Amino acid sequence: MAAHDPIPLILAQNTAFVWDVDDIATLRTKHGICGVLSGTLPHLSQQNVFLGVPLILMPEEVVYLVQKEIAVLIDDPAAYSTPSNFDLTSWITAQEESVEHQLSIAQMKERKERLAPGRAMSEEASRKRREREERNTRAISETTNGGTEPRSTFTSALSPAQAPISSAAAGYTVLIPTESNKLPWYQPSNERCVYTLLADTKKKGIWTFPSTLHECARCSIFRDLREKGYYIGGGIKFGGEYLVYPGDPLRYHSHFVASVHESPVSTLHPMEVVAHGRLGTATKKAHLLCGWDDETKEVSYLSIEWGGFG
Amino acid sequence: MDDDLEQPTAVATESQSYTRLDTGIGVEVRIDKGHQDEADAEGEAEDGGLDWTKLLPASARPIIPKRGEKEFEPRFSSLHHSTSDVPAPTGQGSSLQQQILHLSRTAMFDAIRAPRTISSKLVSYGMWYPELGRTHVTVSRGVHFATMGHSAPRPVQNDMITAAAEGTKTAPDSASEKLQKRLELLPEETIYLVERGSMLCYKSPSVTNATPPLTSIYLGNIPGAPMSVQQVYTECISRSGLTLEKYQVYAYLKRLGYTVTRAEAPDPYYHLPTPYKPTSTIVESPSPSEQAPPSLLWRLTHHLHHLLSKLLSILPSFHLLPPRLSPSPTFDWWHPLPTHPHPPQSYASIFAALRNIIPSGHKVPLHTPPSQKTDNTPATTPYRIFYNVYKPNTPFRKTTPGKPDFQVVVVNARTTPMPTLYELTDLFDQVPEVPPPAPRKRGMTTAASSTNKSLGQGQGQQQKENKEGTAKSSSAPVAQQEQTRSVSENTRLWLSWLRWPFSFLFSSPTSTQTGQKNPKPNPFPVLKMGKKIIIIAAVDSGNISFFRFGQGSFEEWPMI
Repeated sequence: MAAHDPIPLILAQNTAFVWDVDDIATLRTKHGICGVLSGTLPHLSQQNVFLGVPLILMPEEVVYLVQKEIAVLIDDPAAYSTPSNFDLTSWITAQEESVEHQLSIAQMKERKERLAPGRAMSEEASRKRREREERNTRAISETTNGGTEPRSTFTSALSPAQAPISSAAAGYTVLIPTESNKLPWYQPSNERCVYTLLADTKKKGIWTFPSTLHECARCSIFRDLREKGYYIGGGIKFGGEYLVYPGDPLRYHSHFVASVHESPVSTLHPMEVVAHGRLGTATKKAHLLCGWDDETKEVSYLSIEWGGFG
Repeated sequence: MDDDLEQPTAVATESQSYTRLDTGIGVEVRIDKGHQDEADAEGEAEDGGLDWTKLLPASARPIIPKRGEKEFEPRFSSLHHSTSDVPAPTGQGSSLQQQILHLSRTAMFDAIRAPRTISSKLVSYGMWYPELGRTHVTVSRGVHFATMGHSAPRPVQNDMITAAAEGTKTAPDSASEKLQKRLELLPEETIYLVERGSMLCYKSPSVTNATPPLTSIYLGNIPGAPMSVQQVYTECISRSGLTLEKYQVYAYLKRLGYTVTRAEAPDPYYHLPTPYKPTSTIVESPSPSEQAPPSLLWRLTHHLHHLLSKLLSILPSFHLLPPRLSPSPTFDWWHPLPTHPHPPQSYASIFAALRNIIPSGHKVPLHTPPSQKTDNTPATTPYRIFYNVYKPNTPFRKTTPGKPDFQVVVVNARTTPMPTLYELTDLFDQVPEVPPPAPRKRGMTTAASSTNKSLGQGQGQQQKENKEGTAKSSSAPVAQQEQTRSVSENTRLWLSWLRWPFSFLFSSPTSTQTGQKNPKPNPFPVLKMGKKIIIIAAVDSGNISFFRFGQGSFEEWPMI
């Protein structure tokens, strides 16, 4: 076992997620594993440039982390127990307390404003607001011909006993939990959903990744590059398997586009060499041919760059 | 023109300085323009130098910041050199670089740590039924439900929910039989709404406890276990044909504002646009009431059509006839090409005749080798249209969705090879033809609607134009232009007056009229766009690439 607690990787439908931001930070800063952030950021939800949790890991990253005993796999569907009444009650009371706290704060603020309206906002603004309120009440009393309605809302907002009713008017913040860790009936440390070995998950069918020679070659090459200190990202947009970065991709450009060859004698068409060289040069990268030798368990590298003679 | 390129000073290193917002430390970053030319910028746009520092502070949230700058590589610090003989391929970088990296990382982690909070006045509530694969929306708020969710009649087993949500009391004994329409969300819609922090979703209790369910009036009053975003992911993906890749494409398009619906109805209550019928021309059959899933009958006819066309393609080979040719009685097989008394023929006419004999274009059925005769495609292929996509800001009605703007196939880039010709052809058979791109506005060109003119017409027109071109090469406007260059305005007027009575000599009125009314449109935009378009989204563990496949109609645009 590693010195620290292993990082839980949440497995669901043969994909590994990381939901805890601290875990994401550890993976990135300590272990050089970046993954891909792919969830909608709650307050910037109409754009695709910046995305948030979950972090989705490449299968190679998962295999690397588990083999290095940095992380363990959690079978997420099995980690949820049926919430007991006690758990549910405690969750609900916690939420209700938070809501009531918010409401009482809002009410206090409101009351304070009513008592000393000049303090909260500037004189000009408060005067304008008072005028507006007066106009509104006058308008309402004119239309309803009674003037009872504004008074009823006024009283209900002030009486703390009727908080649930006035909550519709006051409004409070609802928190949607992101990670399951916050739910008391989520037990990821349970024996039957923690896996430390890839063989076990494969037997169970919840994680099957390196199952072909090509996938094994991918894992080995990923591991070799990572052990050399490179950061690695997905290279599908550059015509290869990986992008190889000299440092954190947040700050540095990648130097290589790597393509995986499962055998040192696998066929390589000249057209591929041209295409790789062309694309790599156009994007200021060298293409890296990575050959995996399954017998000697070694990786050999060959880089292609445009010669640039005229 | 390109002054920037000519002057050497423009290429010289140009230091750009920008300060970090939240620290107050002025950081000057020198960017060597030698490393950052425009090709680099284009390539790295995908590679993404994300500057998370610009996301903060939280008070300025809704502003979408620009991508930041990246550096070439971490510099080797002297400390690193002294400790190891061989310099590591990746140094830690200078302390300045480390500082910036640290700031970027902290900003990023802070930004993604933001909790999902929403005002109680805006939040929606839902109940996820795992056995059904749907979320019942009990409280729907916000604009999302104009384009998401569909109503489905369900037997009201658990009348508590509806009663609690609507605040009414229904008789519990009669409720078990009743069907009630309710708003339901598909799995991807559920995840999307929960993930963007717009809905609090509960999980329906699998075993109905005898104890009264616990609810909270503050939180939607729903008896069930609240689900985290993580649990919603775990529960909803792999339900109703959804995969993680498909969800990612869905969320990507939704975040951009597109309206995304399923292309195949996941249940009989889901409304689809009127299916495109490949055999006939697009006939709007106004029957929104019979919303039967189009697949079965349509696929049967589709198969029949295929079989027939295959049979036809085999049969004529016995007679040495090319397929799909209806030999006119005057057609002479010994002289397939039109022979004129005078031997010199133009290439154009020969090619035109050849085009009549040799079938071409996508209407000709694909040749299927006998080994592949068994229909291999529709059941197993990953290339099936999954989403209908509508552009933002177009009127959309959930009950009668119109013709989609795009149709998207989602595949896993790791496991799926490129589509075969058969798979592509099958896809194109399911999509309607798109109108040709509007011609670029230049002068008085009118919108050319001549893409579906038949081959013979196009050829004929072209020939006519050629003839006219050669006969009257020096037409009036050209001559006029030539003259105006040399002579002054006065004489030009004079000349035009002079020429007026003889204008029929200079130009035939018919040719100019046809030339102006129906100019031959530029074929290349049309060819480039194709007549049918399909979008294929390839997803590789979080990276989405959209590819557009167009079926070019080269047979309709003969170049000669």
